[in-house]
Amino acid sequence: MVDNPQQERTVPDSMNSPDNADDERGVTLGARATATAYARGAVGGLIVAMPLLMTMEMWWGGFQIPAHRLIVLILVNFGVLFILQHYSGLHHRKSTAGELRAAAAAYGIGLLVSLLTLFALNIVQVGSDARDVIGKLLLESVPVSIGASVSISQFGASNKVAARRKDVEGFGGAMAMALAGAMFFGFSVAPTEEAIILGLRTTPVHVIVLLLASIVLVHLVVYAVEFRSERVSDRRGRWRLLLEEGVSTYAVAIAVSAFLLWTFGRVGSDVGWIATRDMIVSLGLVTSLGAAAGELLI
Amino acid sequence: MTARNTDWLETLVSWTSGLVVLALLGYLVRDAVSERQPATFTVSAGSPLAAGDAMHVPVSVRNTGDRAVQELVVTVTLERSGAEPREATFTLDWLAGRSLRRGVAVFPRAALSGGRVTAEVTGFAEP
Repeated sequence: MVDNPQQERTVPDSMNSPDNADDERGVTLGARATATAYARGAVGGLIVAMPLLMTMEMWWGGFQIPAHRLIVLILVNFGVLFILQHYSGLHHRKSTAGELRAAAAAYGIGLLVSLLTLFALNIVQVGSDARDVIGKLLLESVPVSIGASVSISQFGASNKVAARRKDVEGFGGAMAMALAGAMFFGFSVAPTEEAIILGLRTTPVHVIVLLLASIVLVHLVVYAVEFRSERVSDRRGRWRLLLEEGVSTYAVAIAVSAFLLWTFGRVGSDVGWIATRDMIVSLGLVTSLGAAAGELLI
Repeated sequence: MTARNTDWLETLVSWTSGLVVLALLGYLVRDAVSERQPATFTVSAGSPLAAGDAMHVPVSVRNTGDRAVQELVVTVTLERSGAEPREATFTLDWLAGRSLRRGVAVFPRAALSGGRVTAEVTGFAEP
């Protein structure tokens, strides 16, 4: 299969076929095409995550964040990668096993790209403490692997099965994409000191304004997505669906905001309720934009 | 989905990646259940180096514990017989567990001649 150029040449035809049946069956692309997809993922992940690879709070997180929080982060990130593989992702194949493999591969690409970049930047050296290195890699691999999955278009956005799934995904799918988008956006701010400072500087008035602004922005983006899509003109009223999806999307965004702040130790049992609330709502502005735009990004 | 639908590269990368992620997960689980030793420090001052009108004293600080620390203050003391001790301090923004970092204490060149230099950690913040 690997050395059969005829097999590789047939793939674009199958992708363009009306029923796209080959995609459902999972036709093998060949090692060369798979290598191309992985290379595109690595470069895309690097482009998307480069600012975070050069953010010192991310490096510090490697030894500051307790192991149990990193464990939860690994599991959540794998879930996000699985969602991304379902609707887009590194590979054309859209079976559960194929998506699981692609999610694992995206994670592996994230780890490898992070390791090489941190070595190149002299953040990680030979002889560094293993726990420190592993912590750094696991943190940095989150944005790299998400970026790798999102940035791939050859086997994602152009894939008819993936496109059809996005069109008919329903409420659960929309929330899954909101989760992925919120993680993607929120991870760019949550590790930084700015997340704390923003939370500490906000007054109750700011918090109310930020909360309302986030909800309005979510509804504006969801409105744009819904009216671009054909899926909402069925049994329920468009406005009711818009309201439901908007509020639910904001709820997902706030949950992701709280999760990310907890992961990076910004909130917890030793942080007061008011500071916690202010930080979650402040970061919520970022995660809500990501959650609302998730469907556009993926 | 059958094996014939998967090329060798995809199989290799996905299985290797999956195993690496599981290995890291296992490492973290072990780390989470094991007791982490508090930070303890080994500080050593090196030979002074002339730098213009000053003398630079290189200092190595090793954290032999498991826990990381932040804003680590290192105080370097110069003692000479018949003179008041002189102190110089520097701060390391962080020091991970089982890790080594280096800093430099600066003294006037004249003050260092014939003196004895000692260095110690005098404070830090817990992350």
